[in-house]
Amino acid sequence: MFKKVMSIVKTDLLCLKVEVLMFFLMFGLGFGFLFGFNARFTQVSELSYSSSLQATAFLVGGLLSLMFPFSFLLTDKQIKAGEMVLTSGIKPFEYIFSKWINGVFLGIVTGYTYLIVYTLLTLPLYEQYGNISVWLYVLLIAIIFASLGVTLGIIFTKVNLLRKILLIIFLIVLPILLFVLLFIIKNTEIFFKFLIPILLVYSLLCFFLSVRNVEIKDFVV
Amino acid sequence: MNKHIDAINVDFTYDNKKIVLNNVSLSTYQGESVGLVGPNGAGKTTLVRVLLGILYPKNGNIQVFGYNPLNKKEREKIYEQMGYLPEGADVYPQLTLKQYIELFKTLHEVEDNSTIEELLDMFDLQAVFKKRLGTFSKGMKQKAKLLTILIHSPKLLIMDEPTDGLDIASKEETIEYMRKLKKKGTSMLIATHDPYLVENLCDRIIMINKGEIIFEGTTRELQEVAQNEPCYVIELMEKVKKEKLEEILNNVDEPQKIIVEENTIKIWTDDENIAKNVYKKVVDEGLIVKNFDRYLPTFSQAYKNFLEGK
Repeated sequence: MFKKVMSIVKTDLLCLKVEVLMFFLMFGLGFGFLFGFNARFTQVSELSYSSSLQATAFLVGGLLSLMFPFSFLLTDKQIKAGEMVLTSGIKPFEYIFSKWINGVFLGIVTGYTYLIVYTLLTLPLYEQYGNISVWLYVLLIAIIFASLGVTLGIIFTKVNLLRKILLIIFLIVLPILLFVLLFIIKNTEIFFKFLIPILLVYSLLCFFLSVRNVEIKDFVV
Repeated sequence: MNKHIDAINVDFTYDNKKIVLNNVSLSTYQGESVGLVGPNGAGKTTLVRVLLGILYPKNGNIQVFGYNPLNKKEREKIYEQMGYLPEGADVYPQLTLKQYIELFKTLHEVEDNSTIEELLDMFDLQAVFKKRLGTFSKGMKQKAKLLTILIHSPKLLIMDEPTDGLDIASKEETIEYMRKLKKKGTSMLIATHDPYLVENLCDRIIMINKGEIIFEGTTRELQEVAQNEPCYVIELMEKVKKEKLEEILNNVDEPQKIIVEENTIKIWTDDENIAKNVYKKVVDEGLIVKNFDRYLPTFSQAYKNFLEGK
């Protein structure tokens, strides 16, 4: 099983267009520095400055984790490659799992790359490099977004338009509620303490519920 | 002979509304190739997907190698032993042919490279082994896909339009390779519109229209059925003057049913004896006969006639 899953992971990574990856890397780095410079020149606190850079690393890593499993699943269905692969001895769950691994992997690579670059280039972050939670968050965020990406991919491949809309609304309800909560409680420390674990449980729940009854026909046009 | 596919009374509907397959039964045996033909939208691809357990039928019983494709665990055992080429499936354009083959090699758990080498040679793909699939022509992509479904020497091949995009030479080579596989016991179910493939590879055809099987038999049987008025043809070795032939055939019964051309005589009759009489007369006159047989339309013509007659 492991070999088959990894062969799909490898294939998807090889299929990734280098320029797309470059775009995200450049976009993320550029965005991070602009955001950081803005924070510098407006003389915000060191904490805000380093938080803004960390947030960039988390967000861009998360964005990649979300987008890639989602787009891999849809593209495979569109070009009917999924049909061919799934009748070649790999189970639907293993196939989806490979997309999830890909999302997590890409999120981690991107997130850590940003963190390392920022840490090397900015003093406030360098002072935090020993803080394990910063590095752990990248991993957890990648898992969260890859799970949501796979869920979205399955929703888009599987169900009709109305159910798609309902499921997507459902999928974004909790994250929106959490952000609303952020504005209400105005205590970012407590908020971030609970945000990641809640989202992690939520996304894994979505992931397992969506892959539970997945069939080959869901990946057939 | 072992039955590889056995489908009995299969019905399939989309959303319980549109009937796509109606009471379809079919079997394929070890070493046999069966062509699934029919007009666009007849239900060929749906039937293939139902047989593979991708789509679930409303009614009916399906067994492939004795396993039920609707059962997830049993389906895995079927997939291990078969190769499936879906219609219009694309390749991953960013991969090289080598990487694409590696993927399916791992999925099919193939260790030995000898079959791959043989297929690469046959499809003339050695030179482009390290090239990206995105740069391939349609025919080359089709060869690459065919290669990936053959690398594990499957016992059953289910192919939807396998010759799509292939040139004549590649078609011939593919058919030749399929014949070799048949001799080794591989059975095939081929959904196709390609008359060349049907005539040269299929032992039997199943014609499907509006979700129902309307004909099952050999291509020859279809040609005979589709020729409404039986006709016999005598083909001469050399050209003979039309007047001379007409003179020879003057005393034949029902001469109005005989059409004489330069070196062929067509006898439109359902009585074989009349045709044999004509043949005898021609031979007695010292003319050398190249061929004497029932006149049959081409497969394409027979297919068209048969569908129009339905």
